[in-house]
This record gives sequence, C-alpha cells and structure tokens, in this order.
Amino acid sequence: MESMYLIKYGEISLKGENRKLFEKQLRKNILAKLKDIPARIDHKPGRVYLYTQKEYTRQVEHALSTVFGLVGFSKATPCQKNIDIIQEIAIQLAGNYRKNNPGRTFKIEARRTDKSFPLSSYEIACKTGAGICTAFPEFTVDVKNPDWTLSIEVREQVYMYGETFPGLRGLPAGCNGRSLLLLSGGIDSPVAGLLMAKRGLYVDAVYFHTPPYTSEKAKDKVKQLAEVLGTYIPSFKLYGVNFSEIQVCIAQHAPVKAITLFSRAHMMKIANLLAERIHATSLITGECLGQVASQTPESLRFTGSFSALPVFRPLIGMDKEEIILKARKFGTFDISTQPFDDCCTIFAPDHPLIKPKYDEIIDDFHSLQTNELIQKAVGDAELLIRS
Amino acid sequence: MAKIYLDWASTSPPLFSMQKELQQSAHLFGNPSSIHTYGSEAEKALSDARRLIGECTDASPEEVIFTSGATEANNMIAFSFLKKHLFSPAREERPQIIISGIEHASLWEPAETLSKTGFDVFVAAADSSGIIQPKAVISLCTPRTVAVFCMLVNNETGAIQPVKEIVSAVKQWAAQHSTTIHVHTDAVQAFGKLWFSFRDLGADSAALSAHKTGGPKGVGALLLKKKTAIDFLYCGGGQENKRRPGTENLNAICFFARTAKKRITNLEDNLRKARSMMDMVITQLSRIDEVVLVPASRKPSLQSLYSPYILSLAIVPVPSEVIVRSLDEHGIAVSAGSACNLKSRKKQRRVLLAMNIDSTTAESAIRISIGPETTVQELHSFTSTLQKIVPLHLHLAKRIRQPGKKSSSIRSK
Repeated sequence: MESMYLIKYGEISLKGENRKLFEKQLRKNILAKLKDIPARIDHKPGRVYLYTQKEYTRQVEHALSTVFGLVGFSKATPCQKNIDIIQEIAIQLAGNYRKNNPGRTFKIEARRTDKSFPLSSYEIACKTGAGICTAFPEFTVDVKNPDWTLSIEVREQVYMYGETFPGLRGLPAGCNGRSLLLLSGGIDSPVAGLLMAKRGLYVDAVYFHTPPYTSEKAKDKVKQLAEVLGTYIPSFKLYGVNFSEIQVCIAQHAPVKAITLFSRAHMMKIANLLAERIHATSLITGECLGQVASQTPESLRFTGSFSALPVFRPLIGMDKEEIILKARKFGTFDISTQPFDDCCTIFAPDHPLIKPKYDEIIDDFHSLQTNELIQKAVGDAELLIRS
Repeated sequence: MAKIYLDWASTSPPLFSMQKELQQSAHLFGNPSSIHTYGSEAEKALSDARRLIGECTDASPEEVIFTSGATEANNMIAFSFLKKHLFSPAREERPQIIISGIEHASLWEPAETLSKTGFDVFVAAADSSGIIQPKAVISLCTPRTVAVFCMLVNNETGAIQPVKEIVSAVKQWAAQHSTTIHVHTDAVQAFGKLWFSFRDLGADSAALSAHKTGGPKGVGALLLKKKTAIDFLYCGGGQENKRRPGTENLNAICFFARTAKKRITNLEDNLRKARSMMDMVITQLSRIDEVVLVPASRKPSLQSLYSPYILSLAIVPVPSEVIVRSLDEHGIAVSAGSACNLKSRKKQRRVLLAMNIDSTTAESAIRISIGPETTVQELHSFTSTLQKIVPLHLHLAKRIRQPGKKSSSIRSK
C-alpha cells in the first residue's frame, strides 16, 4: 500500500526567483537519504508530496526529520472529492488520534483551491466537524486552542492530514555551496557545523590529530561525531590532517605563551588550503567569544587573519548551556563528552596569551617558517569518513 | 618493527606451548553437576583442576572457589560483608573495614560502595616505599573492625606487602579484643610469579587471576580458608559449594590449572631470570638522568621489597600517555598505570598519590611489567628507545609546562 507525506517548507517559500533552486536542492537531499528505498517526490504548486510504500514509513519519517529545510511534514490521506467520503475518513483519523492522545478538543482547517467543489471551505469544516462530534460525543470544537487539528485540502483530489511532525527548519544543505568545518572532539564544533548546514551549506570537516600526543581514541571519537553529522548533512566527508610536526615545531620555537594561538592560526591556514582543494568557499569553527584564551576578540583577530575565506562562527554569542542543549538535541553531546582529549596538556601553556597584540607577535609567527610543513600536512590529508 | 610486550601485569600472552594440554580437555562439555557419564567426566576434570590450584597455592582443594577472575573474587568478599552485617537484624553499630590505600579498583571501588551503604571504611596508608606497614593497619583497628583488605604485590610499583605480618598482627589484636577480623588479600600480581603459601600467609581469603600468568581470561579463583563463616551475595546453584553458583567455565578452568602448575614448577627459575633482568633495567635506567624510578627508593637487588616483574618510572613532567604512545609507535607496549583504570583519569593516580608521590610525578608515571618469556634484548630495546624518545618530549614539556603548577582557569582546548 502506498503512503503519502505532505512536506511543508517555510523559509524557501519566501524566496523569489531562486525558489526553484532551493526546492530542487531540498528534493535532492531528501532523496539522497532515501536512496535505498522506493520513494518519489511530486511537486504540485505550493505543495510537495512524498510517496513511498507503507513498510518504509519509519525510514521516511526519520529521513524527513533529519533534513534541513523543512518546517514539518504530515502523513496525508488522499481521497475522492466527495463530502461523505471526506467525513468517513475524518472520523477514522479522529478515532486514531483518540486512541493515542488524551486531548479531546479539535479544529478543522479546510481549504479549497478547486472552486468547482460544491461546498465552501467553511461548509466542509462544519460538515466534517459535525460528523466527528456525532461519532465521538466527547470531542468538542475549539478553534482557538485545539488539541488536534485536522487539515482538509481540496485540490486535484482531497488531502487530509492530522498530526504534523516538526522538521529541522532552515535551508536545504547545499544551496549555499560547500564549507569546511574545523572539527575537534569537543562539544562546540559539531554543533557549529550543524547550525551552518542548517543555513544551507554542504559541510565537510577537517580534524587535526597529533600522534603520539593525542590518542587513536580521540580520533575515533571524532569519527563517531562525523557519523552523526553525516546523518544530517548529505555527502558529508571528514578529512584528517596530521598536525604533529607543525605542533612540535611551534612548541619548540614559538614564545610559550603564544603556542596555542599559533597552533590555531596554523589550523586556519591549513583549512584554507584544504578548502580550496574541496571547493569549499567558507570555513566554520565552534569558537565562542571568551570561552578560552584563543577565543577572545584579540585572539580571533589574530587567527582569523590567516583565513582568506569567510569564517563562520555560529556559536560566537551563545552561552555554554545553549550550546549543550543543541548538542543534546543533535545527538553529539554524549560522544563529545567521552574522556579522550584532542589536545595534549603538554602543548597547553599555563598562561596563554589572552589579549595578543597582532603587531607584536606576527614576526614571531613568520619566523617559524612552517610553509613547507603546512604544504606537506595538506598534501597528506586523508579522507577518514565519507557518509 | 619488532613487537615488544612489556605489559604483563595487565595481561599476559597465553602459554601457547600448552595448547596441546588445552585440547585434552576441550571435548569435555558435560555439566559437572550432572550425574551421567558426561557430567562425572567433567566433574573429575574440575576436581583435578581444583587440586592443581590447591597445590599451586598450598591450599587444600576445598578452599578453592573458581570465579570469573580476581575482580569477581574481590567483589565477592567485599560484598559478603554487606549481607553479613547490614542485612543482619542483630546489627547495632556501623561495622568498619580497613583497606590499604594501594588496592586495585576491583577492591577499592566495592569498598567505596560499602562506605556509602553503612560501613566506615578506613584507609591504611603506604609508606614512601609503597609498603603498608602492619602498624599502619593495627592503628586503625577498632572493636567494630570486621575486615582488612591488603594486596600481596602492588600492581603499579611491584611493592611486596608484608601480608603475613599484617595477618598475624591483626589476628593477635582481634584475639586480645575478643573479636574476629577477616583478612583478605588480592594475590593477583604474586600468583605464579612469587611463591606464597596460602596456609603460611594465614589470610582468610585470597584472589587469583588466570590470565596474568599465561592462562585464559574470564577465569580465576577465590581461596577461602576452611570453616570461614561467610555468606556470599549470589545464590541459586550448588556449584562451588554454593558459594559461587553458576555452571563452571570448565575448559577455561582446566587451562587455568595447567598453566598455573607450569608457572609454579618453573617459578624459581623464572624469578631468578626476572630478578637479573629487572636489576639490569633499573641499573640502565638509573643512568638516564631524566628518569625517576617510582618510588624513588627502588634500587636493584631489593628482592624482599619489590617484585622483579613490575617497575614504575617517570619522565617528569612528560605526561605518561605521551611516553606510552611514543613507545607504542616503536612497537613497545607499556602501561600508564592500571589498564583497568585508564578511562577515569581522576582515579588513575590514586595509588601513587596514596604513597605521597607528588602529582606531577604521578601523572608522568609509566609501568613496565615483564614475564617469563621476556628477553634481555627486548629490555635493551626498551631502554634504548626510551633514551631516544625522551629528549624531545622532555624539552617540550619542560619548556611549556611548569611542573607542579596548576593550569590557569582559562585554557585552550
């Protein structure tokens, strides 16, 4: 038996000329998630419908709830343009709702785009509502604050749907091109990546590892995070860059207080080069103002100066609790809090620079002469995960 | 790249030379409790194994209770007191337990649980050599004391504990105060490596593990003195004299007994060899300025104080994990403390800190542990590799980290 879903998208519908592009991207992203099961998408004016077989409803509902760009989706029941049939199905749907939910107030939202249908929207709502009240006398109508809303749309045929499942909102990933996320094993960066994917970016990620100073377990942890990111972001890829030689060089020669800052600056440089290779046009970091020494305005000014590409920092104004809440919602928190550090304490100076002055340290930075090491690190970048 | 295994105290390679013996019992699948032929064959193999373990520890066969390992044996003892004292309607005042500060997590954490469930748990401190002196235990004894837990050989420092003296002091104290105190010893790092007689030791119970001496994982034993009034938590089967119900892991038990027997037969030879090798390592390491032995009093030839199978050392202030991973890159496996504890860093250094070793040294401590199959060449490779990798790490660590100082609150991740 065929199942049908009505897909609602919010922000895309505000787009003008480019709307088609956004719609196309959304459709592509949904179908990419459903590539192993029979599903098709049908664009009708103002509405997108997804059809699948009944046995795949769980996969489809999971896919639709993990795709950026939709506001919500509903399982729809199509029927003939006949008020008796409409009423019968309405009673059926109300019965299903009644079985699983305690609420007993409802509202009918009828819409008629096919004006040849003999009843007006108001008349459809009245007739159907009366039918439900007769079948289930405990149900009462409440148009202002109903427990349950049943929508009836009379178009080329009639579509009826009750519950709307929430979507992730935002824009379909990819409509704003590709970006490269600097992913660590912490709580912040995975959230940052997902928030930017929500703004329509295809996101790939780069992880810097420093063996033997960081462990294989820290790397595994990042791979696990990447798996989660891959469930939301189509064709997500994780690249690994071996940072050891550069890190040791910095640790040996840079002023001790600037070690962390210089390491971050090198990561920016490497990310820029890698971004070029994968055709990404921006970078994403999990930086949050004032969270650590390398995330003060002065430090961000320094590290940011090594990126020619725009650096998106979606967490910059959030507090930790807000970030944790999002990490929990996306399902990355429990992985991020595994106790495997992505940075060795050996490289963390006791008193890092908090307000670095660009002009005072830039010469020290250049005197490290790490260009060759950087080229080598980028050249040796390996693809760790492809979702 | 040569592969060198120097982590025998966490687990040892199985004694492959004994595969043939293992196969001899592989066909036995009967339940030792069954009365048919399959069952009685299995029962016979089981009692042979029990007799062998008895011989290996100078305990009588009926004192041997097979378990899933030393962790279970330690837990069985610790939680038996829960049943005996807390579930008992006759209880009047808080029972008290004394535990040495250097115990393995499989005894330490049950004791922590007991302390949260109505017991007073007192910790006997080790001296700076890592040794629990009998007087440290006796000074904590009260008329409420029901048990003393003290291991035989410490798994991080190799320090041999004077368990026999502790037992006799505790028993004497108990007799004077007309009470009884159960003394339990975790003998895992001694078993098969340093000879001990359960009878001479005088302890009421001891925990053994199979896989640290070439045997299989998932099996061990609790030695329990005859006529000890003790009631274990588990019930629901007559196995092991009702003390450890559940069908016995027969094949593993047979292999356990045979590998143990082999280790005990060769114990003196192996020990002599281990002593000479460890003395050599200690001598070589003492020549490397950057290496600190843990505890600092560790020297060659302290045969009565330290097991020659275990040695802790530190390259201060390089974090132990860095050295462990660096050595691993060179094919050398050593450990940063007890492998069972690596996931919880906070607890990781408990044992060394209990010996009053400063926290920077504790955080830098690595452990090497050897076995009968370890060779002199392997240990040479270890010391020379260590010498090779230490300077860079040490240079970085000294440059960046100020030993002993806490990091400032705002710190890069």
